[in-house]
Amino acid sequence: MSDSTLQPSLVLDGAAVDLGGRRVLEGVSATVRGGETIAIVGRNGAGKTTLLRAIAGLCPLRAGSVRVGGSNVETLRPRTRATRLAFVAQRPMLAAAFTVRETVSLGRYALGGSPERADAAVDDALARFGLEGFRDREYHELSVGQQQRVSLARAWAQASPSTTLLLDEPFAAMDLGEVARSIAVVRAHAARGGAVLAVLHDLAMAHAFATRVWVIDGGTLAADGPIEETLEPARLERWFGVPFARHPLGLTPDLRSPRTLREP
Amino acid sequence: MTSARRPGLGLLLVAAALVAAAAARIFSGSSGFGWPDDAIVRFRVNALATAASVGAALAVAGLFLQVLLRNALASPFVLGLSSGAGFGYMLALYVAYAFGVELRGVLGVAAPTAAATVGSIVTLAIVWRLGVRRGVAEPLTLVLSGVVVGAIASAGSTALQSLVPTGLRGEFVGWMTGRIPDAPPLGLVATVGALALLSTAIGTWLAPALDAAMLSDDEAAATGVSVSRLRATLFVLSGVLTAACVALAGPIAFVGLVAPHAARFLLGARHRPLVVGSALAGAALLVAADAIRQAIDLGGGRLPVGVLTALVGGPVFLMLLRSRAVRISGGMP
Repeated sequence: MSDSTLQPSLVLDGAAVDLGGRRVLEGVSATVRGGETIAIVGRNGAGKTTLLRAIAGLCPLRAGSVRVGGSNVETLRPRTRATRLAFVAQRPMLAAAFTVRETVSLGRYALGGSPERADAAVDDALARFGLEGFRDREYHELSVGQQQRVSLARAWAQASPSTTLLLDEPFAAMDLGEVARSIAVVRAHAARGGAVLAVLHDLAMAHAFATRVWVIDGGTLAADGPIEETLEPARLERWFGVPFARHPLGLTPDLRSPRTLREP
Repeated sequence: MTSARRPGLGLLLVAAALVAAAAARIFSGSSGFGWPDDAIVRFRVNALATAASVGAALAVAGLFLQVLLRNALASPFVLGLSSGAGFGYMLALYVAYAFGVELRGVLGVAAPTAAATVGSIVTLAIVWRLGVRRGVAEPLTLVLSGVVVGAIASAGSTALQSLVPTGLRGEFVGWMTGRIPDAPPLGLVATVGALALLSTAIGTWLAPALDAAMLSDDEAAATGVSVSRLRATLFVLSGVLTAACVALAGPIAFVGLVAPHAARFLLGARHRPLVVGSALAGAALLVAADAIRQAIDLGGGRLPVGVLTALVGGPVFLMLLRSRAVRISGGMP
């Protein structure tokens, strides 16, 4: 959609969050446009998950604002919000014996349209994340990495090209092949005009996924810039408290190869 | 157990079970099997309507509680709601007795029923506070909280029993085991039936939200569910359903637990067929239990139906406790 390029997908203005009477996020301001891929990195407890939840409208802001497609996320109706933002939580949870296909179709909850259209969107999502072979398997029979692919597929089924994807450690339990293919698919979402924000721990993964990085440190946005320039060893040591060196075995899956998206 | 591909067939099966149980209840009795005379028909039809309404209402309440708490073990009885409602009901009767107020006519049914509603909703609120952290129920903490809060409410009811004269006490004791009354107040039967129908309709309408609510609170909200509104709806409906059932038939155990699981077994996990299926299964189970109890005479008269449902439902609860249903629910890592 053309308006996603004119209007920012997200505008954060001094966003602050208190949890249990403690300030866990302070004065976060940033603008995100459609097509951007942003890795959110930082120590455990720095506020990454809280930031993602705040953007998704899942926790109240103590100060500041988050605007999604021009509207305040806190006053959007959940159904409308779901057309602009899709969210994948860090720990998958499902309290029912749904099949993989049924689970992915939960992403269509807020979206109207014909059953045929919903079916087509669900099938497309299953195919993109290599889940066709699992469609009638029960969700709880899958490995955690496969369950994370199901969560991503659910978000994909929910998303239109302009929807912003908010992903909390989405690849943490995946094997290398699953990671590479999943990153390629979410980057394809950025290529069609949607923004993608992902909390990540692995910096190599962050490099493969994102063009921009947010470093969260002590509840503040400590750095925001192009990933190559921002993540340099001296600053990383300051943020993470350990020294960094470039690894001699600089081998990562090749995301630019067409073979990445081929079925194993 | 994978989800059924064709829920229509499963629904037909449950409906057929209800019809069979209803026929058994009408045709069988202490006078043997056959078409009874008119006076007895009316008596049996009243009992049938009571059992069917209470069974359906308890089953839908159980299903709603299982969704609300994301817990396969939740039911009005297990979570202590029935006992809480019972305590409220008895307290109303006791207060009326203590102040010499005679509860007659509509007031005689409505006042204790209202007190039972308060009792069940307060119990649910307490159990919720104890067993749910950030929207995630710890399955065993929750169930233990329900059992203990229920035990406290039952102890309160027992204490009230000893404060009333013998005649009223007999009524209290019979009621506390859970039974289909010989002469049910038809207004209350109709109310429970109407509540069961209304809740089934609301549940079926909300089915896509109930499905999405099986995700975590965050993910359900992000797919577009108004989580707090859904939660309030389920909270109130399950509390009111339980209270109306308890006022009519006493705390009948395990129907609210077994019926939704039986329906899931036949229909799969999606809620659109499951709400109707649970209501039908609950009605069929309680009518069948009431029919079976007509056939068993241990010498001291017929057993209260609550004894039968506990004898069947207790073991089912224990099987569930060991099964994967518990591991799936409750968000345990």
